Amino acid sequence: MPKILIVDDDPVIRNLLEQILEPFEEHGVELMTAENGVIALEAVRRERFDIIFLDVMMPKLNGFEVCKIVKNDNEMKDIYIIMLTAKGQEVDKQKAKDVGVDCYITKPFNISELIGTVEKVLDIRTTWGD
Amino acid sequence: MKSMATDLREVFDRYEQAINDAVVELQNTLAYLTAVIDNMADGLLVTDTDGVITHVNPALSYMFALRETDLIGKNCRALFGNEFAELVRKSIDNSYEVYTSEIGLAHNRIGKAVATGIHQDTFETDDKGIGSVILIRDITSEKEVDRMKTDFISTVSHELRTPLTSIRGFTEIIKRKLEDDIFVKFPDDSDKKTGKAVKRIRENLDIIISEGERLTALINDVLDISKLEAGKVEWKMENIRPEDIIERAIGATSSLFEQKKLAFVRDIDNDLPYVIGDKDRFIQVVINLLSNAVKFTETGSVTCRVKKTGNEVTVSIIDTGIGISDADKEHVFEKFRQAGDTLTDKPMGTGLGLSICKQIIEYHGGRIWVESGLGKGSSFFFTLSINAKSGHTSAQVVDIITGGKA
Repeated sequence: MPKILIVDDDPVIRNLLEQILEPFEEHGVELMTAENGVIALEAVRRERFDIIFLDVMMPKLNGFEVCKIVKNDNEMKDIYIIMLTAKGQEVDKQKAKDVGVDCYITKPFNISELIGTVEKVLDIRTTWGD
Repeated sequence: MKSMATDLREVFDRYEQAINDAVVELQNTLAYLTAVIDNMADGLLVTDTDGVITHVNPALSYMFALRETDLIGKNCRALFGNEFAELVRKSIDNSYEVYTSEIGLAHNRIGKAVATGIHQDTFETDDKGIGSVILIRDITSEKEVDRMKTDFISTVSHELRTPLTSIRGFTEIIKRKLEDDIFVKFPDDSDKKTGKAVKRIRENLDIIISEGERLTALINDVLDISKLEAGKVEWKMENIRPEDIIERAIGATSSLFEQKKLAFVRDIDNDLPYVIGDKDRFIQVVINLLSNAVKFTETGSVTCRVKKTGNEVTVSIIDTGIGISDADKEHVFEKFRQAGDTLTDKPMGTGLGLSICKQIIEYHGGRIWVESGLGKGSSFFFTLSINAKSGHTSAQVVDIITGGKA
């Protein structure tokens, strides 16, 4: 079954993403959360994920560093990484591109677009857009 | 005979005294002017028409950490680089204009140079003047304050985004859950009080969502204008087909036309040349002008006209809306200024859009202006610089589409 990992140091944002992605659980998708980059990497090394929602500014290991490690690892490089961040400047977007981020979404984001992206990656159709 | 000699002597003495007095007065005036120039806090530099330095004051020597003897007689291009030399050249070529530029000073400080041509009526120099006078002010502190302001705005904007994400996100989820799981249990024939409550909740949630969107736009605009003002925007200059700018902007605003059922008129010249600039920023300008046109137009149409005018391409966005009074017209490009009474009229947007448009267009060397009258609609114009090296032809497109299929 597909798995999504939500990585953000803000519990409110983790909670929000879990609720937004709830419709995918009906399709057997498993949601997991991590509060920083180190815990996220432990989880990704332990089990296989299809998508990671990754914040940038986090203690211990930031989102760029996590992405770089994942994308440089043959076992993990195919995981689709959605960077979800308040940093919307061109320089940040370029940095994300350089470390291999697949999709860059700036906070505050459009829920329909976010769900649409996940639907496309997992090839699942939820009822959100109906 | 003797008396005549005495008379002549007296006349001579008087003239000699007058000349001496004049010389002393001239020396005093010169000493006074030199003292003024030498005690100026701003640096002063004078060049001849070839850009060779003829005079400097102590403040200028200090600013560049160079002795007067290292400066006098040297060409300013060799000492201060091409950008400074260009400033001097422009002020000599157009001696009635004032030109400004930033210049790096010694000890990592920054100066602002203000150059004007020197023209003296008694010299036969046509309009080219006899040299250039440049005042340089140390603006390091001002730049630092500006940088701190931009950094502060940037940090605040980022910090606001996360809670705003939660507010917008959870509101949408609440609305969704109410619609899917709760409201369906109260059919239309529910008792009057319940029906009214459901209607109110729906309306109020929509208000929170739209106000959240407005707040997001405001945060984005504040960040944008602070970056523009601080010169921190990364411009991606390229050759652009004007039609591409217009089409992208029309695509982004088509839903607005649909909502208000306004006619959209497209009047784009054929044979439009390529223009040079940052494509995304030009699209941002057209989207802003089209959105404004729709916002202030209840009936009629919005026309987008693109014409080649001399060495420029002029884009016009013309609406049949409420128009702008003469008093308001002067202020529409200022920050947080919108037409109408800000105390009684609800603001329709962030109040920064036109100010951002002005900064973008002026950065590209273009002009932006408005022609309007109350009740007569508004026409906003801006110019784009043609890239003379590229040629381009396209068929003229003039069509009228009603009901938002813009």
